[in-house]
Amino acid sequence: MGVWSVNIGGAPLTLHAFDDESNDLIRSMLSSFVVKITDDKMRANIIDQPIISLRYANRLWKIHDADSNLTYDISAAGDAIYYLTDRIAYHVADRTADAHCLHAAAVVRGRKALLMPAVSGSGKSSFCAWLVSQGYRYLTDELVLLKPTGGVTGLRRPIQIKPQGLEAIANLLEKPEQILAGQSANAISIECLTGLAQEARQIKSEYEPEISGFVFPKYRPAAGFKFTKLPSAEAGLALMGCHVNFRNLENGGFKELMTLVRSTPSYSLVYGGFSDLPENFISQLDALLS
Amino acid sequence: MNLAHHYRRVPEWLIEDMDGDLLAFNPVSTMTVHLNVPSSVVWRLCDEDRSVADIIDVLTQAYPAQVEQIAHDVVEVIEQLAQQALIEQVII
Repeated sequence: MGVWSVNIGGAPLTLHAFDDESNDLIRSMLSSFVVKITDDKMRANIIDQPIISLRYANRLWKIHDADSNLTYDISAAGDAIYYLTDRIAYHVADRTADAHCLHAAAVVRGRKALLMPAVSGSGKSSFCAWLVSQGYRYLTDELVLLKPTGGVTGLRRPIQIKPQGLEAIANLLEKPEQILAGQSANAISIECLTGLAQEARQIKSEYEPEISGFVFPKYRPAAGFKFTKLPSAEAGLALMGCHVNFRNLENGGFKELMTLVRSTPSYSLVYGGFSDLPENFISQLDALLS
Repeated sequence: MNLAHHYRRVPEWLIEDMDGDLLAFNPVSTMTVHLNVPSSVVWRLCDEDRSVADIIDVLTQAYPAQVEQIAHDVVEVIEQLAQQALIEQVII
């Protein structure tokens, strides 16, 4: 059995992989935020952590979340990634008490992070994929940990694109053969998207990006393009709707988060497809981050 | 609405001034409410000592050209604030 440690935002948890296929899936898809436990010293640090187990048998992936008493039997590898990272995100948000956990995607340029908070189905993963294809570095498409100081980390899982969204990003894919398909979501690695080895687009570990802008995306078919500056009250209200761990924070972390919102430019983006985005849109976003 | 009624702000709410508008967050219910400037003014005037009629008086003195509109709007805002549990009626 392989034992892997997930350590994001000071809320560690443990993955147990019971066979070669499970270990390979974790290694190939989650290596940016999991570490294999290889010695007793490392093993001593994983007591009292939530445990998620993964095994592959009879062409089925079985995921078991012991703390939540949830079990999934899954046939497609893309869905295994989707549900496995969903459980990881749940436990990270459930245990993080020193950062705001936001349901959001994030990309980075230099040391500046652009956060895209949104509820499920808003097209944030697709928009995130587009930004990465335009040269931004990928941080997460699901869970951002925003520190009161403005430092940003994220759950760097493969980008999850729902089946109905795959066509929209088809032209962005450099290595489409590397998609891990699923019925709930397709797992798109950064290498699959950019053609570059995953490490080339990872955030260097010696520094932590800082928040420089919020963009609240909303995909609506045939909506065209609308990019509007948001008043801080509207941005704050929208952000609170994406906050997933306020119960862990003193007074919900409300004052801290609103302080960040007031000092951070916020925009609403409505788009009907990538072809609707103007040619200078990346320049606009770069200016926002600068 | 009875204009003689008095209301007060419910103290559990945390308030942040967001460039003029207010955001209110209740850590117990985890509800967040956005108050625009007019609603914020009425909310601030709900201080237990003033009746609804007193609040209307204060505002009509400040904006004498809009007496009827102010009376209508104050009642509407107070009903909404009470529904959102941002204010509560007090018995004097």
